[in-house]
Amino acid sequence: MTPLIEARNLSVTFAIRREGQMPWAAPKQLQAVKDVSFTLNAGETLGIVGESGSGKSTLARALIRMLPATGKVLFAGTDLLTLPPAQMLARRADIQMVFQDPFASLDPRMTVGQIVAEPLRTHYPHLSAAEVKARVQVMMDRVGLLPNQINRYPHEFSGGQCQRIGIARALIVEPKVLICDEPVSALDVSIQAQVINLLADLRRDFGLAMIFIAHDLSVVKHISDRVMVMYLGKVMEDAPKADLFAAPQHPYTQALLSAVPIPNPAAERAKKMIALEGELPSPMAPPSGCVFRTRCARAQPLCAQQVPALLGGSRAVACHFPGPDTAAQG
Amino acid sequence: MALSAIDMNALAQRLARLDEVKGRSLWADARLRFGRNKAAMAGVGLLVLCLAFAAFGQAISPYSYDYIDFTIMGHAAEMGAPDWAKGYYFGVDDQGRDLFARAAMGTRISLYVGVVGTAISVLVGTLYGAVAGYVGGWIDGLMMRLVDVLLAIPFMFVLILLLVMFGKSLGVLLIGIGFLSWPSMARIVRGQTLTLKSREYIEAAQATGVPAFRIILRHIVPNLLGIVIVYATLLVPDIILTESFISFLGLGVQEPQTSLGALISEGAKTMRYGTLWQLGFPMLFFIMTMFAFYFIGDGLRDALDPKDR
Repeated sequence: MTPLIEARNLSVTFAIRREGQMPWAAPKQLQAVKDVSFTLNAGETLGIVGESGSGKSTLARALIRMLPATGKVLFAGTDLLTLPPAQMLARRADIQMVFQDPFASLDPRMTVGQIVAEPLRTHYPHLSAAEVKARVQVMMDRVGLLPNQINRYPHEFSGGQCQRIGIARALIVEPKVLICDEPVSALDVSIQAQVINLLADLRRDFGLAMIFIAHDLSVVKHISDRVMVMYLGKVMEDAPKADLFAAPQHPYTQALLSAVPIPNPAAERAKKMIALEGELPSPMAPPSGCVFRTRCARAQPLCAQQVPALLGGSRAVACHFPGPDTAAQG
Repeated sequence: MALSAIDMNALAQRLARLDEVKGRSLWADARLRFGRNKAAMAGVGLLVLCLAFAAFGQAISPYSYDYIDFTIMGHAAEMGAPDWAKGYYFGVDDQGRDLFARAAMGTRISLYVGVVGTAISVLVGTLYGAVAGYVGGWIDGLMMRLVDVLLAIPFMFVLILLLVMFGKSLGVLLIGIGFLSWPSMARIVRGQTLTLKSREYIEAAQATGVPAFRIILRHIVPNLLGIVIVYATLLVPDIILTESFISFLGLGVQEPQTSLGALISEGAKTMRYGTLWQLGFPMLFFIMTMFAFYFIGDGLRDALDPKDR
């Protein structure tokens, strides 16, 4: 079976010009995403985690060609990155996106009906107005909005409702892949659960493949089949959810997992935290060799010299010294 | 549980059958705030008064704007003062023409030049600025440098040159003012577009596959319309002022047609003969129009951008 989406050596580089720099001077290069490869099968959900600045959102935007990227993004066999612009516009119906900020992602001057109908009007221009309206109302009902609110404006809704509108807009053209860029991080915890459950239901009903970006590991654990951990634009670990959470191999994954609070005071006190030293290094000047070595307890001279390859197939780790964490268990 | 499942189902069904709720758009909100602004509503009142005068003034007056009363001609100072019995409500000018009809015509032409000039400037400036800001990159650079060059050219000299070259007519004046005042509009719109461009709803539209020009028309322009409207209402009096200045110089509207600027110019020339009504009445309508537009512009800014107060 060919995977639905396959990314091969996807890299995104931004050219950063300093203020007042001469136009002919070479700009500095910022590698936001470097050599990321993964596959996503139909109906599968891939969770992408990492701290701020790890390139999660950039990766998502590169996949749908919202940013200039190098490498390959194969969608059902065709490379999206080299597709002519007109064909790419048509393909966009197949990969839709849900955004982080529920208010900012809805045009304040448009009614809910117009917002949800926009993808439909773009990709199915021959539909009659009545047909569009009927479909919009069905979709609104499906995501838990009252269909009679079709003429209301985004500012008349709560954050959770706005995110439902965003989801309705993404799903109305029946995409094959849904990219969720931190869809719940701007919401209250109680609303988060509702939206996550809605997404899980919709994924089942529509047979969606999902790329779910979050920095909250418990959210990712709930919804993903596989989890990819990113750090400074690179993949650190890519493994089935159960394996990753039960036995993380990469020291960075272990540190991330140890930081997840446990809702049980006794267990929380008994837990050993792996505190990471220092800050995320500047992506303008990433460390040589393994990018994580500056904050890694296991770092050896080898880590500074050689970039660790992402090895291990479906249970892949990019580390010279992978293995269960001894410090946390001992 | 106070509510049983059956109650909840009934409630859900009733809700589903409810009529569609009408939303309150941001425009409706702004209208409400505008209506509560007393100064702005006074401005609207003044403007309506000026508009009514411009529209019906000539019809009310018993004399036409180019009718010359030869008995008064040359004796305006002694016989031309405002006289309600004869129907010269605002008096008579030097040539023996009814000032009421002429002031009505002047107001009409001044408002016409202001509104049409602004409309040209808004149309060209908004599209130009939105395209430059949205497309970005070197195209934006090129387009905005052109605007810089245009802004550096002394506007008034070019306008005077145009009028001298293509003849002194209202059409040339209108086109000249409209096309020379759009660059600053384009600049404002471009700046606004740059901030709008990075909003997530624009990104969402791009990700959906909406073509660029449709994004500009459907998402960018409606969202910067508020600022454009405010700027346009403040541009109208500016253009009326420019037109008045040009007419004051004798280059604008030509006899027997007239504008407020031309009337004021005549009034200023004949002031020393004691015919102050020739200066006073056109001046009154000129000031009223200015005030009206400035108050409305201020009110619109408060109404459309409540965060800025």
